[in-house]
Amino acid sequence: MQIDLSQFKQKFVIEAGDLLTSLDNILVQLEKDPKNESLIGETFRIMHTIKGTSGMYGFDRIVEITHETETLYDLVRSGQMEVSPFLIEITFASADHIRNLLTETLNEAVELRHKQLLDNIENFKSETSVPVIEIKHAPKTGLASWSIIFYPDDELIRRCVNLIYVFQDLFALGNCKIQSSPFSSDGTEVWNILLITDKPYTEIEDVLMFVSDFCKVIKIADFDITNPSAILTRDEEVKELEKKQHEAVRQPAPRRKVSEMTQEVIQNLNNREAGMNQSVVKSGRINVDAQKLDMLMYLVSELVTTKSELLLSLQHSNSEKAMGAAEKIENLSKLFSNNALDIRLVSLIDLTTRFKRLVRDLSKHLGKNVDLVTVGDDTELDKSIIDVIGEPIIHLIRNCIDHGIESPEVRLNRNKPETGTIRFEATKSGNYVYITISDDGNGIDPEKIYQKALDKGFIQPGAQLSNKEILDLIFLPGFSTAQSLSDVSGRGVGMDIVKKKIHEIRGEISINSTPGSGTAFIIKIQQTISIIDTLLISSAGTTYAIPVEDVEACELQQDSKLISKQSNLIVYNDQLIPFLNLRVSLSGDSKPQAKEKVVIINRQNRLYAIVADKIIGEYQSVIKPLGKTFSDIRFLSGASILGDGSIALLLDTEKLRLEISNEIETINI
Amino acid sequence: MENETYLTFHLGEDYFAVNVKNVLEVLEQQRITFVPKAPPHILGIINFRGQILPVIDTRFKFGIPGDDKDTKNSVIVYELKGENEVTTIAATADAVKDVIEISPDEIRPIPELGISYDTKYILGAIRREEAFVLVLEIEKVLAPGQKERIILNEFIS
Repeated sequence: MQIDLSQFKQKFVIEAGDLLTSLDNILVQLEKDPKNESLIGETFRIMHTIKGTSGMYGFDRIVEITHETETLYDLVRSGQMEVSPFLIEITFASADHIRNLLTETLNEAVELRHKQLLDNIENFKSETSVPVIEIKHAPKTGLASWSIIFYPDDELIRRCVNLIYVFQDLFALGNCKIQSSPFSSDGTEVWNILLITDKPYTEIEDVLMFVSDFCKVIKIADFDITNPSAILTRDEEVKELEKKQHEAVRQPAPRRKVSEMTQEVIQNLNNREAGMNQSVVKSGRINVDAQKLDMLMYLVSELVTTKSELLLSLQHSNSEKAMGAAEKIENLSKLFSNNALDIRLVSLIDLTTRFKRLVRDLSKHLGKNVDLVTVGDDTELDKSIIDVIGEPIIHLIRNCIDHGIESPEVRLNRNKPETGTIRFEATKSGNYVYITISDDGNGIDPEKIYQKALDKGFIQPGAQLSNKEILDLIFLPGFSTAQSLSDVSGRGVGMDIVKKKIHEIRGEISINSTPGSGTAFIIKIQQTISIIDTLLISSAGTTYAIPVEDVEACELQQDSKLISKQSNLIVYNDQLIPFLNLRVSLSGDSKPQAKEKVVIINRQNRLYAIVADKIIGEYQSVIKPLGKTFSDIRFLSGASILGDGSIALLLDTEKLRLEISNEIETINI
Repeated sequence: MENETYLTFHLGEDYFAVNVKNVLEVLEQQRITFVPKAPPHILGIINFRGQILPVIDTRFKFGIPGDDKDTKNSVIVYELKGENEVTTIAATADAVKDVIEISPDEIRPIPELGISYDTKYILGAIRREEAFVLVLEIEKVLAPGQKERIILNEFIS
């Protein structure tokens, strides 16, 4: 259990470390090229990303530093400040400081450095720029120290409570330290958690709701006991208080003295590594290094390709025995690859748990009432996809809370329930997963977007755009609709990055919005990315692969005369459907063939036909990326190597349909 | 200064040399898969050790008339070290000729006039067996995103 907890935090520390490393590189370049806008933007984004996630994991000091540094680069971006050697210096110092904060525990020396750095930034800002930005500091008052003692036993395991989520929530309440210690005399395991927070007892109780039978919560001080100076001044008071309590109430059993407990907790903190190396795995799950999984996937994909090679070379052999064995290998490799892909599938629950925290914290922070409703979060996705989509979705949810959901007063005025709702819905359809994030808030006014795009020079005056096209403008870099900046959803970074991230995993994002009643973002992604069943066809000497699930029928043979060149329509089941002749449309070769083969494509209940020279057959395709050179060709989503070493191009049937609808529109009008 | 090893190939009438440190492999009679709607300087893709690589039409790039698809050409696989990443890319050649040693002071600057190629892609020229060999800065020629043709004057060739 503990190994999981440390992993959870470690993951963030590793990610942040990587970001800081790339920041170092960027800063070095920026020093040489101080006017480079993309470097300035990149620095800002890194600070912004670290700020966003570190807040969730309770690194409050990092939030403060990144917010300040981010503000400096925002001034640079808006032209109110220039990149100076001193700015670079101070950014390097911030990066180093964040690195320390990630690994060190807070102590006086770190705190002192922290304050000095903040002062430096503050002075620098007031000297060099017009102070237009007001920085919000969360006031650090009312801190209290709590000791939470866990007695984990088999019963807890049987109840299937996922302690990771409990700990995540605890972490979010404030500064949290955990260690395992041989606390009880009979040798059973006990975990001791020190929590420094300004939140009331009821919130801690909420977090521990499902595990209350297995833990005790003791308030050990009304101040931060990790702050040594505070301990000295308050320890006497505590002792006094304790004495009075003893006098007033006769305790039935002797209790540990609070000051002793404090001491013990601090001591445990100092050797906290001691308990961290224990791994306790009692359930039927194991944690596997992601790299090992990647290696497995690589081996599986090589196996699948080699199997095809084997089958091909045996095609003309007369050995029935060999053929039989080869067929067995084919079946096995199919089972094997499906199984390997299945291992990589992770449910969305890990993500939605993070979202719940986020919604709770942010809505409170902004004085709004927001409920998060999740539907279908048991839907599974490939791990590599989960790793990428978390961040963009967090950004979308932030946007919903910050810009979407109105304040309670406004909502009541608009005859809406006081509490706003954000819905996270995931559904699976074939090899695709659709994730919808929607709110019942403001909605987006297309006219405002249009005006803003005009002001910012994104569109030309008089441009005729549909509402959908206007909404899509928010995905352009540098576009933001927020009237004022906030430390929640940021200052216009985001939507372009959200789109970029989703494109990286060959996903798509679209937006729907009704002014006054809400906004919905729809993300469409493939469930697995590396191995899919395809139908191979060939046209003008090129082999294409079509995902089998998109194929409605393929045995049709039509005489070329039946295919009307004028209408671009063919008859299928007494229905007229549009077609695309790959030979003509993709290879630019209009030589008519005696016989054309037709594949009927069904994509989201829209039918169309692909006309090809030859239908080759089914093939289990290991998808390889085509690379940057071909990123503009949207109807190709990858390539696959066939058994004979030749290449098939994977068609994206949705994009291909758009390609023909463009052609048809021009004909029909 | 030490000699460096170069690979020479010809395109139409002209001879070119590239530093072997950028050359991964020379493939003969490689089957190139056509990619529809690809940029004009891209001939297609090949399967190189299980990796999909784009193939650049070198004749098109240098403005040399003739169709690469008709000649039994060679494909040279290059490895280009950029600032942050290493790019592997393939490009055609009519035929690979030789591997030669070139001493750096042998490479002469070439005049702007009298040559049909943009000189910023060419390090210089050397003389070998009564012929001029143009030494290419292959990183620049094949840089990702470098789509312009590097010919200056299409009338001379």
